Amino acid sequence: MSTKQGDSGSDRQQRIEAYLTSRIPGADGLHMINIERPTVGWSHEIWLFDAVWSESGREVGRPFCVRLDPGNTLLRHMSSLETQFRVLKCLENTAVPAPEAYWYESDLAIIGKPFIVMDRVPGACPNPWGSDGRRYYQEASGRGVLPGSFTQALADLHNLDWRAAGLDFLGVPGPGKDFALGEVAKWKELMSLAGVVHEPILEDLICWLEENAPTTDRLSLIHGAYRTGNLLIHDDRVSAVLDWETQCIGDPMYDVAYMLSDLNREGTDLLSNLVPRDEFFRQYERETGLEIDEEKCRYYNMLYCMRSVAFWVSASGLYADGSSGDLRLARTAWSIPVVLDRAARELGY
Amino acid sequence: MATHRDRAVVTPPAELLARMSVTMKTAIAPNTTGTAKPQAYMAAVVLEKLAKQLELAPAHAAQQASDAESLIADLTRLTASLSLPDGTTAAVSGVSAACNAVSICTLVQALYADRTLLGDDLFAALLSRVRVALRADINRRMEFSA
Repeated sequence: MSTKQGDSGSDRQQRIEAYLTSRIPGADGLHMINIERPTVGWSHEIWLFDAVWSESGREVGRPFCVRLDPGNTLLRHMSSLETQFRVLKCLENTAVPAPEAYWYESDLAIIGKPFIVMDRVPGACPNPWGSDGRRYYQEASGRGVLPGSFTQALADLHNLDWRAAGLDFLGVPGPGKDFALGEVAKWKELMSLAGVVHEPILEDLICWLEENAPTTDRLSLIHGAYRTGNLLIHDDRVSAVLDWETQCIGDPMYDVAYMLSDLNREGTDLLSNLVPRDEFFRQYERETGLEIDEEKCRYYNMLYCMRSVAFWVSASGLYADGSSGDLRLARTAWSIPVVLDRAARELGY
Repeated sequence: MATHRDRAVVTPPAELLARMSVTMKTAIAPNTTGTAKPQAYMAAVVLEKLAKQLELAPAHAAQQASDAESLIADLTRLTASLSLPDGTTAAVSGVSAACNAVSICTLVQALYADRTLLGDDLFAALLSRVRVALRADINRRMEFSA
């Protein structure tokens, strides 16, 4: 869903235009056209537009995406725009499809919020939770090209030489159970930042996760939310992996578990509403040389239950404390019992 | 036939919220435009859930009290004449004194922390009994959340 820009953002628009003019040498009379303000997503204010200007007497145009941190974002304690910018810079010239990031600015004087300016990659991001989106992915699955591209992009992510790409700044887990235990600790911390949470099923789940943490044999760059809806698609291929907010260095089965999760599909057996399970297993294992460990994936799916609770606690807290007026966040208070119900079933009750 | 005068002067809050939800969904949201439109529909959903939660609250509170009594009785029976680790002893006492989310969280933590000392059988017996109470509680919450 997107809305055309109205008057309310005109000041910000002028500031973005001024900023781009200062950044692009010789850009005379730069102005923004075809402005869209997507309203999907939970975290950032996004501006998509074409910038046009005159350069040596001829008109030049270039598509941009500006992502602003409104200061009350979900996951705001875990992933800054600066981190996202650094990740995108590291991914340039790698096999992982990602937007090219041009500039990051933390100076609030420029347009009022920290922001990233990046390339507007061609493609669409159909919402997998709507009937139109589900139909889109169903039809794309039938054509047979996108499922392979989707799996390949995940394999490319996991095959990336993340040290060579400079991504070790994300933090490198130690051997053994360090990655899994670190993730549990990270999401516990997010919840504690949102306030004190007394949920006995959650407590049971966390204790179980700490007691059953698997060891990690191979470390990869992990996206952390790899599914349809977080990818741009162009001509039946993944043109960019988006939403670099939960990335980390860790166990590739963490992403695979997310792929396998039935949380990420609706009314279909297709993984992420798109990929036939057998095809995914065959291609992913062939391209990565990894064997999918379903027992580990079960563990990480339990971790996703914990993560979802943390996510919804944080989200509903933003509405409850007045940081956000978005009623979608208020609604998430009732998502917490749904996830706890699921967690209890996974734990056997 | 009921007349206007026969009705309660004050509409019960749950019923009022439910009616507001319908008004929001059928009269306000369809006539709203732009980014306010999905927010209006979401407001209808939130009001509907609040109404259901409020409507069920008295029955849920009664069931919760009954479940708490059973849990305390069973924990007392299961641990009677046993020498338990200090942490678990304190946590069971805490539940007996005030059976709520805080004390049950503490008990769950204590059980896992003392698992080795408790032994697998007693650990499983105590945790299973707690989980029965947790399942009943989440079933109730699912009645207004799902």
